[in-house]
Amino acid sequence: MNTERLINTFRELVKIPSESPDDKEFISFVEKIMKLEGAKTKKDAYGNLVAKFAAKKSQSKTPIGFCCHADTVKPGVGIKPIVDKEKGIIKSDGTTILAADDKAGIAEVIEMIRAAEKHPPIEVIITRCEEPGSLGAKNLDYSLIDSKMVYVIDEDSPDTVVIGEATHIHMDVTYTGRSAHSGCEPEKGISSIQAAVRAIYNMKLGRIDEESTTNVGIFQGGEARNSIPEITKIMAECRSLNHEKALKLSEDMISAFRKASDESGTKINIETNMVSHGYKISADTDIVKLFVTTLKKHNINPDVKYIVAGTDAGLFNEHNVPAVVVGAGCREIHTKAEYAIISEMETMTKVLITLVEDLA
Amino acid sequence: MNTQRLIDNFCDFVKIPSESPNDQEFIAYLEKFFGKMEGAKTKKDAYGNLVVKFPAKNSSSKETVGFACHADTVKPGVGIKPIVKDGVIKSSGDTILGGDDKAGIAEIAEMLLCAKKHPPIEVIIVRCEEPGCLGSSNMDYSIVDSKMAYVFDSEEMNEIVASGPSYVTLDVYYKGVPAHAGMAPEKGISSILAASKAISQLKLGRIDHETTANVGVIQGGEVRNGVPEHTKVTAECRSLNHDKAIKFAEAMEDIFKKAAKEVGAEVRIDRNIPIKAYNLPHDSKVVKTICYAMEKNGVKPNVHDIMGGTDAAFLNLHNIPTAVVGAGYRDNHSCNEYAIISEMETLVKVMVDIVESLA
Repeated sequence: MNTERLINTFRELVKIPSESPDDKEFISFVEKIMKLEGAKTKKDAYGNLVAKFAAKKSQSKTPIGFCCHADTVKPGVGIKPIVDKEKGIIKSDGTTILAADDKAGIAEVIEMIRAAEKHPPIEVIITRCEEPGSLGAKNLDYSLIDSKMVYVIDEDSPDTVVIGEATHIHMDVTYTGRSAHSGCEPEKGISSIQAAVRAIYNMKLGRIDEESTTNVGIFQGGEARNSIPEITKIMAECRSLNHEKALKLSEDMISAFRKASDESGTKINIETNMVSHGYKISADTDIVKLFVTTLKKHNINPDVKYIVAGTDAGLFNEHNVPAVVVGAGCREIHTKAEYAIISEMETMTKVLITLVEDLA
Repeated sequence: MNTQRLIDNFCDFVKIPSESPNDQEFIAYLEKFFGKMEGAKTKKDAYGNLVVKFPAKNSSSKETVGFACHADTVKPGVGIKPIVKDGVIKSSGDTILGGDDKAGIAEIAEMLLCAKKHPPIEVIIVRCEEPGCLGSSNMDYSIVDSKMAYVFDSEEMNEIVASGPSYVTLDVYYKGVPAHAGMAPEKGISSILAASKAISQLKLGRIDHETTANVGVIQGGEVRNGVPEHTKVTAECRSLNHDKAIKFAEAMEDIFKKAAKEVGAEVRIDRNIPIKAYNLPHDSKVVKTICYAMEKNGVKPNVHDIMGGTDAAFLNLHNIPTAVVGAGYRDNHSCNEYAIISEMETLVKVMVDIVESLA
């Protein structure tokens, strides 16, 4: 493994913007790299990339899959990665995210392909639009996937092995009130913002219990200061490792949104979307045992756990491709303070190399 | 007075499109139009507002009186085909008419052609009234000499707007702490929650007979799965009573701040007072003069207040007592807009009586 090459690859990747949904140019860039490394590549109708590498010095016919997502959250344009050798980290210049989520994973997979001396057939799956709710994995053409198991590299710390995820429900709420001049005839108007705040104010947000969360992420209402706001849009979500709890939470939120609409005389439209149906994989399965063993070989104490975040792994599992989520070596994701830990990226690459060499 | 000439000028004016902010071509047309009149001197300020100055006629008065209208129209205002029929002028139905505010401009032109005597007169044509009085708020008032003025920009011919509100704008910026909403929501502080807590406690809409408040725009968060760091709230309050407006704005600020504290978010509030309340007494010269002129023409004046911003608010802010008066149009800001010819005629007579009485 070549650390310098790993870091350079990573720096190149983050410099190409891929804020969801504008991740197609980045996917084409990754496709080129994969082709140069000898892969046969295919894109499905949605634009997801599948790169297939033949077995190397191995008779194995059982492909193993590695999945990362191409897109990033905002602000992700004009990322200038800064390597802080003293601290052993890579960070942004503070005006953007770093995009180690999930390009650290992609860099590690590329380095693994370059450095592994032998391996079974490998499929690298680069999905589009994970951040807005695994849209890529949801629309992936699974007939292209031959892997019998997939490691989704999209967690923070390399000791992480995620064997279960939350049910994750999106709610898009639109309140429609009535506009009116706010100074001349406010009594003729009905404020959609006032309706919406009434709902949010009464909602329990954040951590609900150890396995459940809720959030109102986006709140946009009105058009002009001097007009009673007619339209307000809210984007909310809830998650729980317990599927029934997630359903109950979303019902509670929806009824709070509706109650505020009834009380205010606004119209309401709610669209719900279950972006991931939770899954739980037994710790005894091959996919888990194999990774745990490999981590231990590198003196890492595995942290096998469930998480409430939705990743692409849920959709692979739903399509009967066992998948777990493992770490990429990044921290503070989805913030401008995001950074990657170089030693962890090295370790993770070594773990991936050992994993494929052992399977060869 | 020549009614045909009044109608012809009006029809010429509305055929020249001037949807805000594209009203400069029309202003250039008016500059030529008024510039050709006897004694006229035209000036434009840096923003493009037009002032046309006429010296006193058969009068030794040195006190300039101003007649103001705005040049721009709302949309759809391109390709207006005015139709004169049954005492009204309307559009062909697929555009506005542009009576708001070109009826007023045509009436001023006719007044200038008819008045036998008058003090110094300024015709003030401002740009971009519709998007929020941009012309009058950006006007170079050093080129304006008027000691009092009338803005012809309301509907009915008996209207006299003699007072307007103080207008306080509040831009509230909440800053929370971002975090992944599913993985570590406990690390985050939601700026949307802070804003929601505040707004849900605000009294909004009609506060009392002379006071209103509104939260017009809210923009919070960037992604669904992030605890939202930034939320901006755009709010206002108005009152015909200046002290009330300030007091109410302060109360709103307190609620915005308290909510930030409760949630643990930071908050910054920018407060501005773009216009200050004015109240022209019924016995002031500007009100008395027009009431007299209306009554002389058999029109019963309806002196009232307005809670909206008008160009008059900015003229008053610059110490030019100014009332808003009707121009004779109806259903403005719609394709059904029409102008009533008899009201336009009456308003010309009222204007003539104003300037002749001031001569």
